[in-house]
Amino acid sequence: MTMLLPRFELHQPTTVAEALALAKAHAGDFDYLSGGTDLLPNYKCGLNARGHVISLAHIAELKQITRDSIGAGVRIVDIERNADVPRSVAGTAGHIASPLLRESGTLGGNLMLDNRCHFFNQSYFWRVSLGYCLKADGDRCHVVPMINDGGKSVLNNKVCVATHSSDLAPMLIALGAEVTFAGPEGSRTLKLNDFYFGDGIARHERKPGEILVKVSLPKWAHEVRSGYRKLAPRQSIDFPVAGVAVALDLDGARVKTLRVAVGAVDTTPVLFDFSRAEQKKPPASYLFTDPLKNMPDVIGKQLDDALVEQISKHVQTQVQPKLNVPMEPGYRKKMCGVLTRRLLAELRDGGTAKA
Amino acid sequence: MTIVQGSGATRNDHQKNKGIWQDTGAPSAALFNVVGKPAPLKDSFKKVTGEAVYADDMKFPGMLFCRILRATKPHARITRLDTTRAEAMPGVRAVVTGRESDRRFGVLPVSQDELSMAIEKVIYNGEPVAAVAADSEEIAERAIWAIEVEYEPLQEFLKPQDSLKEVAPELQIHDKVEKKHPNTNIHKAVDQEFGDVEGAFKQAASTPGASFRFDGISHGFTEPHAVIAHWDAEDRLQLYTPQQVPHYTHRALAKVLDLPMHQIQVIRTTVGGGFGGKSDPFQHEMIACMLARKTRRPVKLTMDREETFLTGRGRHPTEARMAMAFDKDGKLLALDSDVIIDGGAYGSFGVVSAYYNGVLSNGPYYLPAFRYHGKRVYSNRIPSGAMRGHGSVNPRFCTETLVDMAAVELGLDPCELRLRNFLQPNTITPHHRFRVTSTGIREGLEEAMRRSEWKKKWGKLPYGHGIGVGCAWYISGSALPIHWNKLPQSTVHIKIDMDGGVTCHSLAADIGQGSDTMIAQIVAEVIGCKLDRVHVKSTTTDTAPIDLGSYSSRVTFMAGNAAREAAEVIRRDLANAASKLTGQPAQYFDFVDEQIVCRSKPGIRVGFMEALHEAQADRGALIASGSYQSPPLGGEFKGSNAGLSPSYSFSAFICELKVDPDTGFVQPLKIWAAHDCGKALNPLSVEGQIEGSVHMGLGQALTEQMRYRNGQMLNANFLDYKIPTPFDTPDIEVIIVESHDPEGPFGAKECGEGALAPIIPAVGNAIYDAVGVRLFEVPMTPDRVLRAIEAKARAKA
Repeated sequence: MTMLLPRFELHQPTTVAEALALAKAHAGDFDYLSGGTDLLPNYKCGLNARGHVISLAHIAELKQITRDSIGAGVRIVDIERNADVPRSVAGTAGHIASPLLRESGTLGGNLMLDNRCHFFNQSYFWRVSLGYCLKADGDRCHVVPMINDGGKSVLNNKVCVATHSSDLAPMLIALGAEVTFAGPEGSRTLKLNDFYFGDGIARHERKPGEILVKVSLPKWAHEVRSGYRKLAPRQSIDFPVAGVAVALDLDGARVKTLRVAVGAVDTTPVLFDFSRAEQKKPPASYLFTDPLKNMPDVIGKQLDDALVEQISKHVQTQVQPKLNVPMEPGYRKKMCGVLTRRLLAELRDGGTAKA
Repeated sequence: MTIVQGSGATRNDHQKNKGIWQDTGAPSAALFNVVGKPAPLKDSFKKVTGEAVYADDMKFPGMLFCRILRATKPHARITRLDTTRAEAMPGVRAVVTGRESDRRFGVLPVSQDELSMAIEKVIYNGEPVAAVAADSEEIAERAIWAIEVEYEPLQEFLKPQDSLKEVAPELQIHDKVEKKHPNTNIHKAVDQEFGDVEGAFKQAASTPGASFRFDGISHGFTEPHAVIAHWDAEDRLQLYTPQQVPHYTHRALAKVLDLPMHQIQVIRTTVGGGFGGKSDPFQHEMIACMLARKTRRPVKLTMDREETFLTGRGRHPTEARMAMAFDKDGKLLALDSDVIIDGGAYGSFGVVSAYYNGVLSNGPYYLPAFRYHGKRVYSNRIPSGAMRGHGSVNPRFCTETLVDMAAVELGLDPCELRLRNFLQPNTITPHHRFRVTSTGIREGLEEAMRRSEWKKKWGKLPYGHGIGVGCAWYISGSALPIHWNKLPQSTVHIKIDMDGGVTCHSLAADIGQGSDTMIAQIVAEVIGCKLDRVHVKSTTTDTAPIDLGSYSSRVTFMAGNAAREAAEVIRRDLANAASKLTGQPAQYFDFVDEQIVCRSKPGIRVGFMEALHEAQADRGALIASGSYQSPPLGGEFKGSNAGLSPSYSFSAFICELKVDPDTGFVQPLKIWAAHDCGKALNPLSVEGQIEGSVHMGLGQALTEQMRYRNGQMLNANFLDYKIPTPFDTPDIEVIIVESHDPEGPFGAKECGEGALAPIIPAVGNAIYDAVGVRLFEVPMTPDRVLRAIEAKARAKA
């Protein structure tokens, strides 16, 4: 039960190409490492450790930050202090972990964060006591022990419900960010919202060996009203147990665009695009949240208090947090409504919101 | 920080002797040289530069590393335990199991219920089952998982209510339970009734009552448990351990290892925080020694954070029902109290805890009638112990909440109601005969009210914004030693050789609270030397005279008095030498700034070193011994010893906060913390203790809880166990009240524990002022606060 780091070989490439070659050489038995604030604690708990660790910390091309894009290797603290990124993004960065951890953690690390669960983020001793779980070494889920399979209640040996706990992911999704990957077969760019997919184990569609290079923001992201509200037990250090990000474009008092992305209540961030333009393909079968179900019509409507209330209630009703991170699911669900309501009203009235 | 003089201040013999009590009724601080002046703690420079040596920093030639295999079931019979595979692993030097010793130990002689490692059955998830010493930590870690254990589950007792039930003897967690309740898992029951409780409730104008629930909490000290044991070539056992109470560990080692005490040396290493979590003799100490005995090599054991949580001794999870009776003027008539505390797997200090949860409610208010039914139960959970504010913190929340409810019902200002009920200086409580010499609680509360502008704020702030008060008292050292004997409770030795360095020996453990600095200040004050001349050696049982150690807030009062007595001997020697050199009578000398000055003719003076060398002529080093023993105290009934103390500290806190009515989040804005510590020997250190108490208390009040799933702690790490961060901690204004205790050293009393209790009810009462709801569950987490707000809204609708 000691917190000793397991043995692995550390590689420190200085170019993406070099890193991809190493990934190919150690296919199936490596992890990428950036700031290390998420991966190394998990290694110390004996969670899915690999024989090789490829550090991305010395690759200069991952560390560029401009008005339009942020390199995956940029430290959280450098986003927090950057004047060119949207205020909401800088503000969200300032709510991640603690000041000290933000000096190490990176954008890429925060977006690639492993999902969290009381039954997963535990020592080896702890997991021996309770029995392993789906996400590491085991064959069952302790949070949702039974699932419905064709009308029958059966042991859940399939779906991991570990919670996606990134702060930046919902904010960037709300702003319509795209992510660019470098891979063995060249690079590809896709919407961040499309990238996240799957249960608490899969959680995203990264192809083997792919490296996140940068996150790009559309011009629109700098123009709309946007903000983030985080629910956490303490003012610092904690992962979110719910996080609401909003991007709002108004035409006078009427809603032109409204994108609400909620983090830390499901296996991936959940986007509520009230234009219904962007939705998961295929319908997000792994998500417990169904944003489109009974989604109110808001586009073109006056964003008065009644509509704000209706939108917040919708978000609150649809999210389905699980009892696997601190604070009760029912409470977190309710708070998604409160945070959405407050953020929407503040963005409507003030134009911008403090993150 | 402000220092306020208590009007109930009593003259102190020493102050009288020094002529520093003025006719105006207040002591003059001007005549002290060292005492009362802020002094950075003596070890603080080493700590902040990283020079301080903790047990985990120490290395010895040939040292081995130990890991402990712990039970993975809360309550189960061990059906198989096979260490063969582990023993065969390269690099493994020894493996021990419960077969090593069946001698039970525990801090209290009445509760010797801990085994070094489980035999036959395990009684909580995390209990040591076996241990390995190997060439590296990594090998030891691999080896413990090569030990084969099989368990047959037994019925688990995970809720205190379950432990009250009658069970078959083979299901009892321990053989020995409370005599009044055989065939249960009740460890200790206390039933006391004094005065006419029924009558009081009948005639009362207000009788608030409620049921309360408290989650268990843990100390969260920075340094995890870490020890090194060495059975040396001279056949003596050396144990390096960050102990608050080296003496009780010394005794327990002798018992379990079957060695005479003089063949054991306990060396206290730098303690990286204790808070009552390092005051029991521990299984891991025994285990390291057993492995050292087997291998004859030094064995180091450093726990990780999870193991430190599992080792436990935190505050008991508590369920309480209490009611109080007040007359129409707000005068307190009676308390009726029923408390169940979950002791977890072992007895620990629990017999004392069972008493303290009741009897310490006999202050800070005059209480004419008192009924208490207290039960401490065993359960298959992490052992509870004597955490900071031992036994007083949770019931204090209950009584302070009820006092507030009575004030509301009677239409009185809660502070005013409290002022009407405070114990007066120089009183003895009616039933338990607790002797209160000094108290400055009235001055403390009045000052806190003034500074917080209480009268402008209470009941008048807008919805969501509130102010609340909480008061408390605490023992300043348990008057009765745990092991009954005629020895003093504290002894201090002083040695001064020709180099002029003053070496003090004491076994009072500096656990970060600053007791070394306290002893140095007292000695420097008495003999008139500079503080940097005095060096305190308080780590080693071979050289330090016995002190019962750092628990029950006893050290300043007891070791401080012992140090003063020893220093007085040296002072007489120096005065005699000065007399010899000057021809002036010895009793006429003052000791100021390294000068021994003739009081009537200040021109006649002798330097400290000159006097010292004269005193050392024909004799060599000056040596002196001083000691402290509590005076006889208390009543004559069963259990009358519990709660007795030569003095009591008092505190009155006011908290201003905001409650977010939509989220239930509580944001403390400012705390005014008045604490009567008798005399602030070191105001800097007193301020630190009070600020630390407030921070720790806010953790219990708002965020900290030990959460379980099937007897297994769910959040045994510092990410999930929510200690407040600096961002969560409000501005704290410390008000030191000096009531000048007649028996404390230079008038001093405790300040390390008593200041923790009042903040929790002050928060609860401020929440009521803010949003009109009472919280009966602690911690007062956002979801609980919100539920209460919603319930109130529903009730209105």
